[in-house]
Amino acid sequence: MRGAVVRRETIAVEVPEAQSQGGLNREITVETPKDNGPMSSEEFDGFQLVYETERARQGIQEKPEIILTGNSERAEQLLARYSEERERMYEGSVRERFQFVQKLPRPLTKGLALAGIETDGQALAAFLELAPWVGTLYAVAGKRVKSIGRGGVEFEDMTGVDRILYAVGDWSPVPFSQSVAAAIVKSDAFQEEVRRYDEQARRAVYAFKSEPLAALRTVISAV
Amino acid sequence: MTIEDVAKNLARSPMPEEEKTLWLKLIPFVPKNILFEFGEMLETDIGNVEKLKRKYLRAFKNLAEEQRLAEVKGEIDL
Repeated sequence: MRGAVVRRETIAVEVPEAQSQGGLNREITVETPKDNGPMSSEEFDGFQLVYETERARQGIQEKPEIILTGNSERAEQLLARYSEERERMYEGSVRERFQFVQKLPRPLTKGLALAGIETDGQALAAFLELAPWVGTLYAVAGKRVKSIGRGGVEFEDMTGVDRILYAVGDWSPVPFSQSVAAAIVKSDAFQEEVRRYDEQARRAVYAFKSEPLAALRTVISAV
Repeated sequence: MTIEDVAKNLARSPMPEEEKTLWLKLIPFVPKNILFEFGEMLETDIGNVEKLKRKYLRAFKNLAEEQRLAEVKGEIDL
């Protein structure tokens, strides 16, 4: 048995011969190092024993590791290239391709252009200013825009709950984005997911800027 | 694609945090046809980032292997 610190546990082992004879499974005691990974494997009396350790039961997942033993220069070069490529990828990503304003009905696009709004960024900034008023309008009318495009605008009816949420909007102590968006995406699970991914993204960004080797661990853990 | 999918894709996308927050605020107002198209684009971006991560993970593994071999060779030469 490897490792100085061991943990003893009794586990049930399926013994094929005992089962075929209607007998009970055997119970054996094994010792394992305490710092083992989530799954541990031992050979005992001709059987391969694979069992969960305490860490696995607690949901602690081990991350794959890559051990770099030599000069870190090449690893840092790789990280820099990764960072650069990821940045370039983002530049050509949804922000550039979406072209929200161009998808609106032509009269609306022209109207926005007259107001000096020609890009998605300008439209989004203006829309954020108007959002509470739009929400109030939706609530009063009981309808909201379902689809919008070159073909025109289509509306859909709203439920009573939706109307209340839109009416409360930014006038409430709870910011509009949180109340409505959280209700739409059934808050708890979504918030947890956002928190998790946000944390991962933040860690990666800071790591790339400050500690390339820490970033390496982040890349590995993210994959 | 559902609104929940769009929100999840948004959370996972490589967008800066400020832009994510902005879009999150807009979800209730953006018409669904545009929102879903946006969600699909986010999905493509997420897939591309995953591919990039895999590519670099392979590169790191190769580097680790090279370094390990160099170390073994060094020990033999000694």
